[in-house]
Amino acid sequence: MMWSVFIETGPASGGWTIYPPLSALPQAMPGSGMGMTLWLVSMVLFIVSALLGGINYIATVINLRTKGMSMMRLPLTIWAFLITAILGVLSFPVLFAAALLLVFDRSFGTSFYLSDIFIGGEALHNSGGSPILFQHLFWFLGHPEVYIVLLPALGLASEVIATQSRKPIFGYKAMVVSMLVIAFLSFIVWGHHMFMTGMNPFLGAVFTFTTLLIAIPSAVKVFNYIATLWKANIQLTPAMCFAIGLVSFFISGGLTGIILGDSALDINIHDTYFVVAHFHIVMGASAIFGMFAGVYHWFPRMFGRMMNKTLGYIHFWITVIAVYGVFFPMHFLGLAGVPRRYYSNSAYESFMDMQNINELVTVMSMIGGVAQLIFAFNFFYSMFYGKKSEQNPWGSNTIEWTAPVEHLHGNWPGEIPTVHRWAYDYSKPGAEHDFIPQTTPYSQTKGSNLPGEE
Amino acid sequence: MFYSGFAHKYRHNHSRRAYFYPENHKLELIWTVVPAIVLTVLIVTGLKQWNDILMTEKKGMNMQVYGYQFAFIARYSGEDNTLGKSNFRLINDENALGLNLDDKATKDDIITTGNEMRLPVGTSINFTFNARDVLHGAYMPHFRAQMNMVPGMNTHFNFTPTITTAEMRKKLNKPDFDYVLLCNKICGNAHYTMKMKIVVETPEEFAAWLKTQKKASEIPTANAAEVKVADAASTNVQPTANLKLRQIIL
Repeated sequence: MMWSVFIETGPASGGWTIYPPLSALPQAMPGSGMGMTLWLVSMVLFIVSALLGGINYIATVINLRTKGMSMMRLPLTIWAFLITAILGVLSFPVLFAAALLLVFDRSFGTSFYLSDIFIGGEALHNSGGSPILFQHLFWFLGHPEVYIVLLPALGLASEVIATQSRKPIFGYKAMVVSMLVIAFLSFIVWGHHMFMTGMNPFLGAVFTFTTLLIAIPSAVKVFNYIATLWKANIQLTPAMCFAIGLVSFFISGGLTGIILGDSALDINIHDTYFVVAHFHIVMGASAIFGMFAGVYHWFPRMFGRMMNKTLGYIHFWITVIAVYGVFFPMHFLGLAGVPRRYYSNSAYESFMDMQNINELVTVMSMIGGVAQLIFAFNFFYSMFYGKKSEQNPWGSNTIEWTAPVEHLHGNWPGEIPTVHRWAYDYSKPGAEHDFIPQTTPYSQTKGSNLPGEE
Repeated sequence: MFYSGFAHKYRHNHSRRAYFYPENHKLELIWTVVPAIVLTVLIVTGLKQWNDILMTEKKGMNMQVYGYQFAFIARYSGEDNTLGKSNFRLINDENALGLNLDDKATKDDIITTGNEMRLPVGTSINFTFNARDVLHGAYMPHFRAQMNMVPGMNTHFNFTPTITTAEMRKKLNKPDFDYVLLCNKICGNAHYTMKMKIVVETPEEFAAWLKTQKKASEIPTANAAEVKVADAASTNVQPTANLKLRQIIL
């Protein structure tokens, strides 16, 4: 794909959704020539690697848990990774099929997606296909993909929020069930990307129904995060800031998602900046904040050193302000009818009033971009010169913090530790410390055991 | 609100322990059921609107808007209010829409010549959309109307313009205001320039303007062999049972 930047006709340029006929016909735009072919080839390689990686995750989580680690003792991070991997394994093959049929249409004269086309001064022979078919296949992957991006971030945040709140995650079972429900629903909502594409309006009604249902498990997750913070003892580490930021984006983006998921409201805002704002907040910024939270939290585990806290706070505050500064105003652009994917909006007098909003967005995006250099510096500097990490700097329960700080082959010398309890015994009444690692058997914590924990 | 409040209120303090509160089924049930009720209301009201806008057949003036790289053409159905057949194999320099002139219904159709489409105020308008080459999107933001244009398939939308361009200019106090139709599905390098002016005016003004546009009967007829080929495959632009079936499948 990188290579295609250097070819004469340029890289694939029909948008990431590569809707045919635009992507199928080199006559339609130069980018649909060699650039598109390279795009498809790299996509096939990517799908294969995603599948192999996904199968590896599933097999590992199911077969290679340590002694005592039952499914209901898994940290939520691992649940999230498992569900993500399952989503990927089930949905990526459909994208593979879509890409393969597109290759056939492009190179072997088939008509899966093409019909009744007159382009470049001639009528093409293709007949009987439908561009809508591609959209169905594409979004059958495309929607689960959103959760493939988001769920791991939510999983990381669950862990960080529980640890730094010094409090068990509220409603562990509900968190697992809501992730499973989200994963299931994500397979039956793909049509909400297609309300205005000419798909039968009846299907639009069905997809509105299924789409808005997703708001229920999402709301449960949000309320559970808030309940976890309630009466907590919060350590606002940079990781915790990013995790809290993630949930904030998840709420803002989720609310606009309800608006977009309603087919009647979508008529006006489909393919406008409202959509751009919505998905960048809910799956872009959220996912990235989840990853930042993960990096700040597990950095001591990865490199045996701590990241600089002050730089972390500066990075967090600039980034969170920049993200809202970029994407919040975009909602107004979208409501005013500014379409996405326009090379220049000044071609329209009716959009000239919005010039100042665009300027604000541009400035904010540059500030946000520069702030990431702080992170890059902190990351690499701390890797070599950071303060040496303790064994368990955050007082965390999960077993990775029992592995020695020095890197060893196989992580632990000798046997992998046995797990005796769930991962969230924080601030348990009667316990010696405000955390009890998963490796501590109940027999050693007689004072804090609840009824039923022998 | 609660969220940021909690984050601040329960900041770390060494002398304190967090409240061990792993679950509460009643609370969880409440915040599952309440969103469920709210969403049921949203779904029901939303789908009522959707049903009214897109799934109810309405009588009105039939017209077609046709997209190609990188402009629009509008076709009015004339006195019979029926859009005649067309076929993409008949497209040539004079016949941009590939109209089949053997079809009686085509003869009185009228095609816009400038990059401008006019609509009579207060009239229900049944749009049929189609495209020649790639996907386009017919987006009329001021009318809150949008529908993609798909080669090989007709799509539909209905609305009734209620305010004329002149009235709107007065209202907004902007003498150069114009309604626009713009392309909202990426369609190539010049996608962002693909637009058409929409003028909403009184039915009398509209009728007078329509007379100045090109009649389909003025298009030179294509040669007989071509028409024969095309006839077999000519597509009906009006919605038909067959088309509906196809929409359901897709």
